[in-house]
Amino acid sequence: MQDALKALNCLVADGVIQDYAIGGAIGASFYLPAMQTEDIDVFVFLPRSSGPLVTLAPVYDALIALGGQVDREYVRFGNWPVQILTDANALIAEAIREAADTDYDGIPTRVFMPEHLCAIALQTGRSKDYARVILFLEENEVDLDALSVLAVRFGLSEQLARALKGAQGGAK
Amino acid sequence: MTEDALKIDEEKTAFNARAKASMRAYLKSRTWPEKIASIERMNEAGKLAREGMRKARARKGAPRDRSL
Repeated sequence: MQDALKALNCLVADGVIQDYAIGGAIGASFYLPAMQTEDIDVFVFLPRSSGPLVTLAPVYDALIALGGQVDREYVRFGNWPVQILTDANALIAEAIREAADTDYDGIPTRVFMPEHLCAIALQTGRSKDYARVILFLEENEVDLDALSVLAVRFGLSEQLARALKGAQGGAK
Repeated sequence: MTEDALKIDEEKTAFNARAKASMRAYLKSRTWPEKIASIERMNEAGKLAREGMRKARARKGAPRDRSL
């Protein structure tokens, strides 16, 4: 994990990416008890490109130069496959911009705020994503007012209502 | 279903709930690197379990019949 974070920080320092933040289950584990996951989801801002196509090739090349090994759609650092994802929509872009600065064993890094983790999970919409949102709600680790505002802004109110129903069901 | 099967010991149930809540609070209070180490252990355990299951199935011969 440390090697992956050091490499990502190098990518920012070298201008290969503008910034990054950790999402997914690893990001959620910053706020919640550990939950099983196979990979680290890293969301990045790519530098402005003149070409029409989004390519992660420069990111992959730089990660390989920093000791990563390509493994299908991942770049592996030690035990950890790192999946590089882009700011594919406005919600993800906001989540990267507003991510929390923190550190992992002294290595600076950035993690999505709980409200963005939940909103992105609602947008992704798989059962495990809903389960994660329900966990955030049950553990009081998300500001429900702020999440509700995000849900309205990004058209996720129905999904949030469903998660809230699930959280109320679990509290019975 | 027998009457015994429906019997609930409220005291023991409350004890179990307290124990679970206490463990949950402990797990949540751990540092991020400690949680990541825990996820690494889960993944390792998952790998071992899948490997064990694969070997067990190979010993039995045919793959599990999912048609039933």
